[in-house]
Amino acid sequence: MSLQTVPVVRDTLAIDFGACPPGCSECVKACEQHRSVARIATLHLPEVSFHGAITCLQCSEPACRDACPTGAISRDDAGVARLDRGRCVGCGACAIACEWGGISFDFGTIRAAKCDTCDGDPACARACPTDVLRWVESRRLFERFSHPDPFTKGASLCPGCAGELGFRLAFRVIGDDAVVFVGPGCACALANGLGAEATTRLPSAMALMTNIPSLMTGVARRLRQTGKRTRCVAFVGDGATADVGFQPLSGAAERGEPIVYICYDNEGYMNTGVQRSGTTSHGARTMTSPAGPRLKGKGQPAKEVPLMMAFNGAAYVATANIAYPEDFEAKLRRALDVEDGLSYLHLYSPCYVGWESPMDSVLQISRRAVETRMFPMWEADHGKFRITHPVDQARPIEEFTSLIGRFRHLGHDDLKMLAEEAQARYRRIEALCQAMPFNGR
Amino acid sequence: MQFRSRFEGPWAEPDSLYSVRSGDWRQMRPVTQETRCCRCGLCYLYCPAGCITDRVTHFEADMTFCKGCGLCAYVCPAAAIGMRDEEQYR
Repeated sequence: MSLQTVPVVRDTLAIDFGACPPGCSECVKACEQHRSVARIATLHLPEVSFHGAITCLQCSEPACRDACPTGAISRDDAGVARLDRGRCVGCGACAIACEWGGISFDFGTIRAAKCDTCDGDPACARACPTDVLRWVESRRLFERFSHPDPFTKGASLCPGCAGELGFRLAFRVIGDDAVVFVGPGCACALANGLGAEATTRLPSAMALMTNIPSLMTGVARRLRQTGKRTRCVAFVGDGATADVGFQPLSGAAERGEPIVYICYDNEGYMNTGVQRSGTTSHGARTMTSPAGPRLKGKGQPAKEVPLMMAFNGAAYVATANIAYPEDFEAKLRRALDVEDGLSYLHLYSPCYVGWESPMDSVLQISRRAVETRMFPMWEADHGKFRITHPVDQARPIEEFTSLIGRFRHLGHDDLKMLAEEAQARYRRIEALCQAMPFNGR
Repeated sequence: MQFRSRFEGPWAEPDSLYSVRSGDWRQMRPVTQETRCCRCGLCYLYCPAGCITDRVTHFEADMTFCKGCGLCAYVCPAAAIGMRDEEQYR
């Protein structure tokens, strides 16, 4: 028996290379204030539209350490390459050896200066107005996602699938004591097996698009009768949630069935070849909402299914995003704790195939959707609303739509309309938070 | 039809599950530079195929299953993972 064990990891400063807002140098100012000499630099090259932050990447075998003639640089147990200023002679060999420009120089004392991550609380990451610099607490992240992955490694889903990623992340939190339900769609390739063979160690069931919550109701009630605390968890696409299967979901929420329903929202019927669904964005091009000389993609704004669920008797409703795993984990744990009604999680999962985006772009799209207020992150716990990731200053909508091919036909006015809709959506959630505020559990 | 699954319950080994050799789909191969990996484990967590393995000094994708999507290279904060053309390795 060789279940995967949780690896030993280190916390790290994550940099989204080349994604800084033009002209921003908040991290440099913060570092200067904190450590007198800045150990981070920003590079602004408007002619090639590159704006990025540069600092030490804490390599496992640092070239600066090997190049130092006095042995002033060493790597500690936390994985931070530290500089002993007492032994540094200011020769600059480390700065030449580092091909990332990660070494700074203190011209006052003629010594090298390098990032020591402020011992796990970097001032630069705190000062960063965007999500370009983030302190990633990997150790805590791995404690949160500690269960072994219950799914097969080789599953018939597209490379770089956000839904597959969300599915695995969800069950690293939920663990083995669950029954998983899927509908006809992409997720069944991971949960339902192929032919007579299983692709997951979990008990799983595939219902029809129109009866997933109904089947879950039956199984959950039977499990409760037998005294088991095994949770019924659905991982279902937006088509079966927002359109085809909304009626039984609405019914289950109204009856207060204690089931956990996760909708992975890829904004379309992606498994059948990119057809428009209720949650498809306004203006998006799909096979059934084409764009051409007369038509401009989908003519209607997206259905707000999480809001519909919040006013439909669901005990716990939250929106989540694969680019914010800590937030997703916290909401999932709350959803599992709630037993007096239905828990509904709306997981943003861009489908790069249907959205005509590059293969490795799903995380970038997910993060931009939050930063541009296209996808507000909030939760409603028994009717009390809270925004879990406030976005004070929305980034321009072009930063989101430029990543996505199915918005390519939209002109300036269309994008403006899309941005205004996004702002209105965010303000609506803000108004709900004010009217029905969340004051702790 | 006989039920052929080697799957028996939550205690079954993950290796005994049905899998496709999805590594055959790969066009770009993620290559980890061992000296640069800072062992943050983000690639391990973010791999949609769940195929990153722990090699103690560094993390590396399992080439039997890696589909070459490039998300590991995108999330790597140390720029330790580079995507190379798969042709070089055939």
